[in-house]
Amino acid sequence: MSTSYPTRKNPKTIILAIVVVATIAVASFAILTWPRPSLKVYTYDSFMLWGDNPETIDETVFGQFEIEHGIDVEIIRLPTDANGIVSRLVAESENPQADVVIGIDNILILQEAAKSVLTPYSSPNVDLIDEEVVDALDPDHYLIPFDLGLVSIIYETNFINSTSHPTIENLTLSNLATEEFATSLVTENPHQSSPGLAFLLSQITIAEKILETDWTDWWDIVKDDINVQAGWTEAWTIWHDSSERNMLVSYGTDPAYSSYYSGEAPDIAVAPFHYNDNDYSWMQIEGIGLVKNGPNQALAKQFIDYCLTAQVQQYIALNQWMFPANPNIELDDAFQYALHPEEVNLLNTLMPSSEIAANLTQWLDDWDLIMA
Amino acid sequence: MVRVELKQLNREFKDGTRIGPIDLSVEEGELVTLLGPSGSGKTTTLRMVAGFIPIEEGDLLFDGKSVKGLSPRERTIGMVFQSIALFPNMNVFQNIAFALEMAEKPRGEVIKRVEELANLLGIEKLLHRDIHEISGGEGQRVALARALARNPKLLLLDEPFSALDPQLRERLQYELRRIQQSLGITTIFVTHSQQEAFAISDRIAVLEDGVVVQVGTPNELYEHPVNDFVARFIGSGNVIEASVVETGESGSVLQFHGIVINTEKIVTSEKVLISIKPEDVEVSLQETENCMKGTLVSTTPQVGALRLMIEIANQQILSIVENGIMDSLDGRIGKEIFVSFKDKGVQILNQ
Amino acid sequence: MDRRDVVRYAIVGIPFAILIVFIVYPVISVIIRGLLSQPSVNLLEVINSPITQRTLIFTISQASVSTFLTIIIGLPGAFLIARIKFRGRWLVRAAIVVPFVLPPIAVVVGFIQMFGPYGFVDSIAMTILGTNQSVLNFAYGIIGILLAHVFYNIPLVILMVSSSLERLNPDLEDSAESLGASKIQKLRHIIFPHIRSSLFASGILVFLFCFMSFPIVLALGERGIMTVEVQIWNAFRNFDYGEASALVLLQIIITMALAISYIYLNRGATDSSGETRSIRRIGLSDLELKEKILGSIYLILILILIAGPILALGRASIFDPTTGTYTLRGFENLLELGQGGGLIPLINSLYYGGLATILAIVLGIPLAYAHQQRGKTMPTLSSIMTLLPLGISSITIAYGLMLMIAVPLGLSFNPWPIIIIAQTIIGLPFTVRSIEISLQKIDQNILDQAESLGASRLQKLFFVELPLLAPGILVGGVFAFAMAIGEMSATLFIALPQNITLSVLIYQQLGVRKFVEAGAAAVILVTLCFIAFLIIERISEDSTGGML
Repeated sequence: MSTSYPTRKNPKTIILAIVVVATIAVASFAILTWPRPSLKVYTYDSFMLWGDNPETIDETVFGQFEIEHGIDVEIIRLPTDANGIVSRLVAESENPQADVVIGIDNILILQEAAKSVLTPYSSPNVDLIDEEVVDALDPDHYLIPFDLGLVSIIYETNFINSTSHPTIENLTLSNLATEEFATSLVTENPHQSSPGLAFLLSQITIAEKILETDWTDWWDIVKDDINVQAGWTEAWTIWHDSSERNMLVSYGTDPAYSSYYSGEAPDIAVAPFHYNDNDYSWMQIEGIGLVKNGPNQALAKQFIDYCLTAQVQQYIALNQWMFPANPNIELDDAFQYALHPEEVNLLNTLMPSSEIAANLTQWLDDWDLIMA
Repeated sequence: MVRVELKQLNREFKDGTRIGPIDLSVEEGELVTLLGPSGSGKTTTLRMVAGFIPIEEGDLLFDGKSVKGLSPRERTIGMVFQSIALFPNMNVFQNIAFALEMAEKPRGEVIKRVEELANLLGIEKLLHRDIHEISGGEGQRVALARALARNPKLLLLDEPFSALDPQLRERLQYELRRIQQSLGITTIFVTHSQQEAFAISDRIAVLEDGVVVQVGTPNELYEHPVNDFVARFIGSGNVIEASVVETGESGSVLQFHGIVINTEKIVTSEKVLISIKPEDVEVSLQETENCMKGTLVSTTPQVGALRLMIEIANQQILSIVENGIMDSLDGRIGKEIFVSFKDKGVQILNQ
Repeated sequence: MDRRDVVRYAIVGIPFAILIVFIVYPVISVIIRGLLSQPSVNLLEVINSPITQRTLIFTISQASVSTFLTIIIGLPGAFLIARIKFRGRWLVRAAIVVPFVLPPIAVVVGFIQMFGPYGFVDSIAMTILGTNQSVLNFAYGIIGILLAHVFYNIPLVILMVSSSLERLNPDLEDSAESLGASKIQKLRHIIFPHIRSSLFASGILVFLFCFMSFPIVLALGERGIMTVEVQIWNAFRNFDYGEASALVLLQIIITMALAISYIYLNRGATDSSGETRSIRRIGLSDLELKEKILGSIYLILILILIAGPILALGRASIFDPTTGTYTLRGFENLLELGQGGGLIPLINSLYYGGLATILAIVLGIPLAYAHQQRGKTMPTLSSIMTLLPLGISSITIAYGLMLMIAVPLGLSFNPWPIIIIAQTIIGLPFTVRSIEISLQKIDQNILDQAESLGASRLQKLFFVELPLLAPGILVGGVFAFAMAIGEMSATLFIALPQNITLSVLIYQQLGVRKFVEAGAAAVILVTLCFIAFLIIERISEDSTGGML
């Protein structure tokens, strides 16, 4: 009887046990996740993941470098976009952890903040890339081009084609502003999406530099008709699902992607802007750069050199669906359906980057006020 | 066991209420009750003795040694709260064993002591029960056993029986007294019930507004209340104002509505408060010597006696008379009746 | 001051110090740095700019409308829960909490599936109209935001008001009735004054949450729709640290005013609650026909609004809209390692959430004690400290933690401790509150009793106080866990790929249209929360309603 009375545990034993268990758990997790020495590359979340084998792509592309230099290359896809990467680099600037960053583009680099976290590096392999493109990204070599693409309007040929809509062949801002096209268009918020921003800059450039009008007039006309989504994926979803929205601000390589995976001729096409018998498009150039005060500067430089060679550049087209910055790479047959940089005049060249840097904030604010 | 002395205990609270100065000593093995209405400071005094309220002025001595700086756990006291305060997360055994287990006594000793106390209090069958499975009276026994478990030097009881029904209450009072005396433990008991205080105490300290107004055995208090507060509160009953007719060297002569009272006390004022116990108030249907006329308001039968309420000039006077007179009072409510005082029963009160 | 006081101040002081190091210091540093980084930025200029004005007006008006709608829709629910007897009440009570603790990003998934184009409601409308084009879209834009806010906050109103109603002494109502008061009069003179403070308190909380709304507005808001929080996020993204600082300051001023009025109202709420054992409840069969019909309509509405998105989430986890087939791919993905696999995020969520829960409890207990201190300074101070995380944008906290703690310590490359701290901070207000409520119920005499029986401070704590606090600690822990695993904004900013949690994974998978995988991860989060609240609803006699 008496033995069945409940007993008490010693509190000190229990506290000790809890502390020991907690310490072991935390310590083992800490050890498990302790960073290994490596060359760290910051990039955005979808970097090189659009190909056939996203699981092994890092090994395929950068394995050679790892073997040659005896170091792990960690491709760190931050759960964010290029702006988020720069934010993180700014936050880390007093004690940087990354060595290299890939994915900052020719608009973002105009921001002081982006330059403040990078060190210019003139790679010997910069010769592999067109000088025009290098200078269009950054003449000071804070960034060197890694890949590039043309931001354009794409459309579904089942709904819109030269027979049903002849003006699509010679797309101008004014015919894009017609109710028929404007109610068909989906674009992205320039605050949150780089193609969205590129489209805004295309529009501003055409209006201010080619047509010499106030760029805001056009948005006043279309604001109730066009569909603005937060990001490219959301926009693509609307465009893909809806039979009313058949035009999308996207990349000129989209038809190639479609054809590559369907194995047929694509049912989408690209419509660059057309003025004075010329096609115009905005080129987005994504760069690779050396992080200022990064831990492995020498190795990082060699890595940048490596990334400009065919060993890396050959994988860009089919895994990133952008054009490799290195023009000597042979492209897949599917790319016959893509809009190529040689086929268009670059709107970038009409708009001096100093002007973009000076006005971007104002333009975005103005856009917000129009669209509200 | 311990002798407890409260010396000039004083404490002022933020809300302006004051306790003290309190002087009181409790002898070894004695049961002293702090008696007073709510708000008189009896619980506060008890909590100062227990150590939950720090003592600002004055001193508290256990066997002549000051315990002012000791925390409650160091004072080796056993306390039973008004709310019983049994630990709801433990069963009866664990509650009683708590103090012993906190002192890390050997297991065998703990079990022996708990069972011993359970036998003493007649709760040996409850040891395995949960707290919510026992009745109020059982709860009180458990609380008492728990307080006694580590052989405290001093037992403090704060209105422990106030929530119980009268019969159970009386039984527990009796049991408490029995256990207290058999253990010989020094005890301070707090209550607002005069009946309870009289039933169990060796001595009683009456508190009013934070001050001890009278200390004495139940009999002393009953027979000789020092002032009208004590007289009224103890229930020794009628407090009335008499006028002083004459004051000489051997005493004074007082008068109350035609009744002349001789006292050995020398009263210098014109008026004086006197108390007279109900049993010293005599009634008669006929006019007698040294009496006054009143109206009979009510009669209430008691065991072996009858309580009469008589109104005299808008004052109500209580009288307790033996049963024999009952028949003759039938039908006399609202009629006149004659009242006289036993001379010895009159007590002159301090102003 | 004797030794006991020193110990007491130390125990209360430690969590204060921790909160100062991990909230006040980083946030103030970020603000000051931001203002210094662009000396040309004038505070007033930012506040006066048309963009800020517009954002501010939109933020306040959407929060007001959301709050109004939430109260209107929530009140009948509070009455039903408090007054109607029915089987499975406890189940409903547990289920009611779920929307509140759902990760906002999971809510977004459910909302799009339920109310979005080609969603459940839309499909029905399309069938009725015989069209294959989307006709209804309640998920995006202002309507979507308002609906999502109602969905999210309705548990606050229902639980807070119903627990206040349950404390209303039925004798009061009976005596009003016996004095000839009509139902309306009774409602106006007896019931409304009783629930007024809980109604206002819940209203303020709802307003606060809607004011701070971020993921919902970001995901459902269309062009130009911004709350202050979204504008702050934009400013950080565009490296406009001066503007961000100014906005954070503006935001703190407004939210702190709300928080302080909440503290005062809440004090009133706890004071007025009389102890009531017998709660007046009526059976379903006692209702009049009219009441039954109204009640049924209400229930259907609530089911569509509350249960709809959650069920839609369940369907989304097994139905692939692109192929039109059912699949378990989403759940399989949760067991996969590697790129896009859910196993690491799942482990991270549980591990970070678990540690954040322990931390929240360890910090929450002394903070709850600080609330209980006599006087006004300590309780007010500790209330404000614990409410701070509700009133400061999580992005600012994350940025501050990163800048001022992680980077100097070299943790930015292995930032999981920082994520745990951020998640702890987010859940702390709820943990403290529920522990505090348990604490208020402890009879001081029981603690004195333990002391008089010779228990040391540690023994008293371990054998008496903690067991008595256990229900509150349990509820607080569950809240902490739910908040931690649902946290996304701060984690998103701090996390490296190996640190992402289920919430972040959902966000990423939504971004690449992996609805099945996102749905499955969201279902896991919902299930975890629901089970946790079922357990506490079963264990603790008192419901979670008074928790807030």
